[in-house]
Amino acid sequence: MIINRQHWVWAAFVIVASVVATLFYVGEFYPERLPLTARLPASLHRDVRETGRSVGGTPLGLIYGSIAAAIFVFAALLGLRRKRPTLKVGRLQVWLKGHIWLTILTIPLVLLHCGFSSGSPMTRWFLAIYGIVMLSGFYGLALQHFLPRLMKERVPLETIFEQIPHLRSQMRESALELRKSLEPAPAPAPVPITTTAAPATSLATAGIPAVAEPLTSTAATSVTEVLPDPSIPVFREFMDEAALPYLSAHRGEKLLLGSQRVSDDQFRLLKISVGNDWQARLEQLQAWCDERRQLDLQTKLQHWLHGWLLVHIPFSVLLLVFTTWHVIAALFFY
Amino acid sequence: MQPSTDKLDVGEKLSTEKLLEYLPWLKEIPAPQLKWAEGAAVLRRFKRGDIVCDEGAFGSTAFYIVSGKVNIFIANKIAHVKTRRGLGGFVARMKSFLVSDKQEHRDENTKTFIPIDASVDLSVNSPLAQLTAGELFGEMTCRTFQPRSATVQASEECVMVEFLRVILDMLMGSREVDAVTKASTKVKVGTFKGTTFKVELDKKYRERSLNNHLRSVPLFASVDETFLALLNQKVELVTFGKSQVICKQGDPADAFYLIRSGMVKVANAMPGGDMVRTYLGRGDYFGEIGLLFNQPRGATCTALDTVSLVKIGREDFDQMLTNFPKVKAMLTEVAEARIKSSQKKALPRGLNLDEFLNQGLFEAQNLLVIDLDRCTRCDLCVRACAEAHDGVTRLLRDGLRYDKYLVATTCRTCRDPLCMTQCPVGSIRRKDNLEIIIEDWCIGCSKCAELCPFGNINMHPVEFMEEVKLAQAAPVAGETPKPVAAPKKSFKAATCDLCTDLSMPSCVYACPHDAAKRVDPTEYFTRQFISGSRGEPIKFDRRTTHDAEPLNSGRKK
Repeated sequence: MIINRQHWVWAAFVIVASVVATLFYVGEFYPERLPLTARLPASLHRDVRETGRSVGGTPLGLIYGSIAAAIFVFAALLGLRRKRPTLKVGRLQVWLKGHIWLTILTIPLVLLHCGFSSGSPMTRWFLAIYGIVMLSGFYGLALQHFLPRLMKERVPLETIFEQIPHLRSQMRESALELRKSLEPAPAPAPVPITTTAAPATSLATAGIPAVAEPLTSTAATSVTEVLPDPSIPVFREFMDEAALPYLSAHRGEKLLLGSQRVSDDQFRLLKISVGNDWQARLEQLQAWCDERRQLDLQTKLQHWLHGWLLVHIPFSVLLLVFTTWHVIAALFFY
Repeated sequence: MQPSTDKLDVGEKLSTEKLLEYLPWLKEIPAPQLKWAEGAAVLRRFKRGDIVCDEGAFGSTAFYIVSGKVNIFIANKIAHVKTRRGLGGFVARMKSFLVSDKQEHRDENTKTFIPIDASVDLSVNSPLAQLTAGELFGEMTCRTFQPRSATVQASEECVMVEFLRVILDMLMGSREVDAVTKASTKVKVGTFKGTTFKVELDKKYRERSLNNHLRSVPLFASVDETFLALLNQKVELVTFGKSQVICKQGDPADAFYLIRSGMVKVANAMPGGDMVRTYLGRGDYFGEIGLLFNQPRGATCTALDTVSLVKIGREDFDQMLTNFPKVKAMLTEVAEARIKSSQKKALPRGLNLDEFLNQGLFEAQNLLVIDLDRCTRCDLCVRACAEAHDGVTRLLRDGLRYDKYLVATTCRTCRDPLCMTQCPVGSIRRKDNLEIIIEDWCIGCSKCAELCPFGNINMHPVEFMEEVKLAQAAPVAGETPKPVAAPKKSFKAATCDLCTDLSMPSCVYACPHDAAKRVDPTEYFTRQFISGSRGEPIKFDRRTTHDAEPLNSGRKK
């Protein structure tokens, strides 16, 4: 999701809520630092400096902790919400905005809940996991700001992600077919070759009188073999050594044709080396290689775009487990 | 899709002499031309219960009933594919059902008669009619290779002549060869003046079918029998050849037309060429705007192929309006809707017009676009569509790009709906809001799906819809029994229904990144792109990308 001006209400809410929470925190525990009174009713007031208890155990700390825990649960529900995208419980867009901004709100809430103290080793683990979840979330959010655009610009032949293996195998099959067509044909039975006379102009320039009648090889020459096309071995060698390995490779980035620049150079050279009859097929082969490169890039970008979830989701589950444990422990000891 | 069964390879070949016995009107054709009829007709004999032709099957012939009677009916289920909630409540799931119009009325203007390729129309409630000796059916299939519009079954022993277009043209005399064809072909193509068969057919139509046909048009539903009988005598039956202009934009309005057979293209002249507004088929009407508002023709109407029309002159039309104010009110409403829809077609300004036109975006009215700068390719739009339609998505997140937008593969509700041009039973049509709707009597021939240039119409297998099977298996007391014929088609055409039961399309609703939008492309893209004054290059304005509302947002709360 791209953070833009449409999010200003959410941003304003988070800022105001953070300021209010901080005011109450300072008003409750450090009233002398505030020119105004901002604290809970006297019956709920606990002075941590006198009692030596942690902030999290005070009513205000518990309120902060409860809100943060509730936000964690809400944030986790997004995963379930995505499983049923048409459920009439609000647009997914609103859920995602809530997921982003409310979890940002948990940063001040968690900090105020724990009173800027890391506490016990278990709590430190808890905070570490929380940190990983938040950082991976921010990382994912940042990626969503530029990777879709990058994909749009650099992968104009973008296709449905699930179709990529199929497309790759199709291109490989087509290339194999092309390769088969380059195999030397079985030796044909000797047949006389009919050759037409060379153009009159060229003969004239050579000082030889032009011959209007076609010449047959039986009359003019004894050559009976079909001359091999010199383009074929060059094309075949290129296919065997570069194109086919590239189109068949699971990961083609490190191969010769994986680089756009090298590929362009290779094909340019090849186009010079082969005859006109082969140019169309060479163009086709180049198009396959270009498309393969784009599909590889799309795969890579798609993995980047969604890969962060491999960290974010497991750690979020772990965070929920720790939160549950933390709530039970707090209730038990309170 | 049923394979073609009528290639004149079945039946008794008819020599010219024999043919003249069965179709004596052909004697009016000059002998040199009559030679062309050799081998173009066969005699077919059917026993009681034999199927003459199946609905949806392709063909190229027409049938003339020499003796006997046939039943003509729609065998496929009269129902439409509908999406709605399956379980209800919080965990509601969307499912596709087949729903008949009786169970859930979709549109107040739904026709009560199904137009078919014969001189009769079928009632939606009981789609069965009978044809007798001396009648013709399969004319449109013969002329335009449309799939058969209905199943025809012999109700007693029948003898029929099945023939190719050349004989139909000889009889009806409506073969027109346009200048381009004439110039490009060396083969001599005959033009036939027609025979008295056409006159007799018109007479029969006037006696037997015209009143029903007029009555089938919602406009004339409230007109009394006396007036209808009067109208029957006064109307003119006219025929137009392929590409012939019926009325021209700007000409004075002199008549109202009701389409008896064939397709009519309605287009507006625009700078750069004609803009197709819609296609009208059998049972549709046009020409009312000019008469109602006393103004020149607002559009040019052209025959797509041979078109037979019922023409009501200005005087009779005015008399009808005076005598029947209800008809006038109804006509005014339709006319205003048509005027409104044509006014929407203003040329967009400030767009990359080449690309816009090449991709057919100007023709689209309601486009699903995906902002590729925002889309994380999570495919939730596709999953939501599948969830909303019984697991079968009607949307593919693939297609052409227009600037930073992906134009997804799903119905665009085109302004020039090619999908409508060859429906043999006229079941695909527009609602008043120009949304494309597939009527209950779709016979599953898939012609619309083939014609859609964007591949946006799906064929839904009917077998999946168990609920409907069960509902239809239970007979309703007092209901007319339907003709006994095993339905051979098991498909219904379905296209994006814009999730009309929901507040907004599922794809838009489910997109978490605000990337998917259903928009009127002309309006939306004009708003998105700022055209520089004095012909400067078009620039994209990123500030205005996020404030567009989906077209049907807030439609139903």
